[in-house]
Amino acid sequence: MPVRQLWIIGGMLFAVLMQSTLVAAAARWLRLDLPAAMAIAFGLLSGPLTGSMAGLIGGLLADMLTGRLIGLGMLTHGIVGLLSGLLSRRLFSENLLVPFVAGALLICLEQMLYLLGARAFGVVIPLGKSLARLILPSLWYNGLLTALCFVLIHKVNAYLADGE
Amino acid sequence: MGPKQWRWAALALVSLIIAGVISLTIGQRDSLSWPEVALREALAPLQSGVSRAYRIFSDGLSFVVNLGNLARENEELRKEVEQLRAERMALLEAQRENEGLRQMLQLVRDTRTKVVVAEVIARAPNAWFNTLTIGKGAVHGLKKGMAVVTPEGVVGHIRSVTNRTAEVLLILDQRSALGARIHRTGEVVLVEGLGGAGEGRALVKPLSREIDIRPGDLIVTSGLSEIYPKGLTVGVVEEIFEGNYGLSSYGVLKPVVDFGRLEWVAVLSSRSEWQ
Repeated sequence: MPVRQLWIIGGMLFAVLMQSTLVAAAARWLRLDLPAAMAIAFGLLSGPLTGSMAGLIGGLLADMLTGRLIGLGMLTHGIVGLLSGLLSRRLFSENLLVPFVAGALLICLEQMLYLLGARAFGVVIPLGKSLARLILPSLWYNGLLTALCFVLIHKVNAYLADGE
Repeated sequence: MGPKQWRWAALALVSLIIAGVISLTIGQRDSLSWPEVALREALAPLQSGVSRAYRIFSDGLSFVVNLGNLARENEELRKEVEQLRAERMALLEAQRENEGLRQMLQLVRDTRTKVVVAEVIARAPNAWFNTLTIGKGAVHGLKKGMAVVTPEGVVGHIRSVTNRTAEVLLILDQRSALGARIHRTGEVVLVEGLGGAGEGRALVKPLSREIDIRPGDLIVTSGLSEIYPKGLTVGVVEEIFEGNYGLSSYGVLKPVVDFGRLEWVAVLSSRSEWQ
């Protein structure tokens, strides 16, 4: 398997591992979404195919650890990875403001899509309350997290390109 | 069929498969699929390692941060010790009385209940569901449906097990409902989780309109279910609100367990095991 694909799988596995341990324990009051932030950063740096693949892998792994609505998180993460990749074609994504804003908005979109999808399958999580109290307040720090992931992935990509 | 139609047909098929998998995993399942078991088993040592490393770092950081406050705290603690000595004398007397009453009421905990202590190694990566993973599983005797507690009170129950891990459904989760009693009156209520949007609270549903429930009421397990023994603390009623049309009152429960800080839990064998 090419190194670049291993990096995407390994990176998303790392993101899900950290999300279930460190993020959940250290930032328990924050709604940080590391797999989504990583997928968006992958999309911004490497395009829609990589972004959607990263999102699908991260979402599926998180779904399998959660054990409920398996496939829904995979779809929502895949969609935001794809959108971030499409966005990268229109914007100059070297500016850190781009991943910050894209991360904030796309993670908000991902969470909304998840809640709507869950509702479609009969799992009702209050939408208005979740949006007002949890999703909107998480905008800025999820944006910040995406910008950090962007820098990290950018460095690893550069290192891998040097190696090739 | 042309290549474009094939592509649409493949997309429709994949969508159907995904929708099918989502539908199959909406509610309670008897067992986990093998990919889930494999993933959980493979990640468990890593999750345990990261959780331990974080705990060591966090404890070290707290120690350094608190170093400056130690002298002042020491003085305060000296005063507190004196006060506690006096209170202890009074408590010992009350304890003797309490022991006698417990025996009379046959409330002594069943000694046949087996206890397995386990470390919390991970939490649900999806913020909308309230579960956590512990580092012991089927090989340690854990089974689906066993109660999970701490010295403070009820945490939840085991939802699924692999060989070396178990998933605990917290009482905060939307899927959780447990039979309980109001400690003050002994009346039976239902405690339902509010899920990820519930901000760490649960709902107390009285089983009839006449039940008197007030803010500050202590809620304990009823012992009527197969899962939880009687008398374990669940939480305290924080506020009361009227249901639709004012026909019933509900309570908002603040659990006694701080789920964010959980590091170790005790798993109790289920009633069917010890009866």
